[in-house]
Amino acid sequence: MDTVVFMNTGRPGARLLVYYQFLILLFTSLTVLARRPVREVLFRQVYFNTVESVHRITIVAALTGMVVITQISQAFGYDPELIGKALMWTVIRELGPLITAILLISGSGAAVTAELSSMKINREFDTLRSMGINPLEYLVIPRMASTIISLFLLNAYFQAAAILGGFVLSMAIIDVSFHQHISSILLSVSVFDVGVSVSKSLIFGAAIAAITCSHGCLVEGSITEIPRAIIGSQMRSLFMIFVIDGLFAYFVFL
Amino acid sequence: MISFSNVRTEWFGPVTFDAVAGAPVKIVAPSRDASDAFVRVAAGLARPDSGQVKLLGEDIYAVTEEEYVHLMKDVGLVTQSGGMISNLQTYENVALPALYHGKKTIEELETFTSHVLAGLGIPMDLGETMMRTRPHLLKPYQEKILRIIRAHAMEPVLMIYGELTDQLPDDIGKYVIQLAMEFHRQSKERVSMFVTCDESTLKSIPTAGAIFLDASRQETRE
Repeated sequence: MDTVVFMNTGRPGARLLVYYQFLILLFTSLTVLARRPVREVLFRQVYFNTVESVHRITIVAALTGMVVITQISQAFGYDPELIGKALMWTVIRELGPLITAILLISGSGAAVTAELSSMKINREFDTLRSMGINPLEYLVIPRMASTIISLFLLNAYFQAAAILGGFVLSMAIIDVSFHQHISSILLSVSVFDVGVSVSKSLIFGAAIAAITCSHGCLVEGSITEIPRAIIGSQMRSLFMIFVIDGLFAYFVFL
Repeated sequence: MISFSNVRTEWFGPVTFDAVAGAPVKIVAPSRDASDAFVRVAAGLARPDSGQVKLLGEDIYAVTEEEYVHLMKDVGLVTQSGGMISNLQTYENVALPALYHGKKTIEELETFTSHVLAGLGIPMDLGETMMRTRPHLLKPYQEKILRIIRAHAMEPVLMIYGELTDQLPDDIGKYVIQLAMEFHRQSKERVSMFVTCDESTLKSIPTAGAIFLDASRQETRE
């Protein structure tokens, strides 16, 4: 904890170093997840991140799928093969990881920063330390792990919901065949694309986890710091996932 | 076990003493703020302006964070207020340290808690309601009792009580001191440190004397 605070000097790049420290902390402290109270925090966070946001993800995913299908059909006529490829390119490679990351940042990402920062200000970190519990291990590690796991699960769910929900909604607008729709998508999907999508969701998750948790933990002093911490973590998380997405586009697809 | 060497803060000092294993220790502070400051300094949560605090043989302000957290597994702390984790239910708060350190099972904790609450005359249904609520909804005396149970459940070798009977009704206050002393006697190695700004609240604790944090009263009295 002291190390993390020490490194937050406000110099350009210092924040990146803090995010890096939090990621190192996560990967070197995963064994604490074997402890029952820490595991309970992990399960609770995964439930909060996924099950409690399923309705939002379902609606956004189905509408995204519908928009892609109707736009392609409007521009090029109904071509199942083209729609399959377009869905694969947009939803699986790009929009799935990106939209789920944005939804996660705006929902549970903000909640994590708010919760950690208010606990820090209310001296609950000290309470844990005085009980022989490292607050980083008990509060931060399960939240970081749950963010990564949740984004992976939400991304997979988003893609299924976009493909199926998009089809159902599109039926009301254009004449599509379920059999053709599904088979065209299955023919278009490759292991490479699924791998890219999974990698993106894991990397986005790690970045969001490090940013939201570090901003929550680095709050010092008064309660007025909390909204600043939340806004800072939201803006930096959004910026970071677009940067990572751009890097993916450059190094993987070009 | 715990020693202060010329420890000074803006609230008290300089203070020097060495608590030996098995002894209850009374610390009398000149004010509530001084009492709170002393407890935080003793528990390694607030660095003093000068001096050295040794906890279980280690200079508490010279150890690493990892070593500090390891040391605190053997220290029970009951501050005069606060000290609950807000996003946990009360029963999770009570169980957290003992479960985290593997010192008790859920069943043992339930038995332990029921025994203490029954001793206080708290009916079982009220006890269950207390345990299932959020800590901020508890009455101050209920919260304090549960924090004492939580600290005792860790079976620490050093107990630090800050204003133990503060906010407690008289009868419950007496029982809580009895509870603290019974717990103290369960281990010959245990040190129990009672910090208060009202000396009269601790008159039933059998100690050789008291340590006064007020510079003008700094002598150990019978």
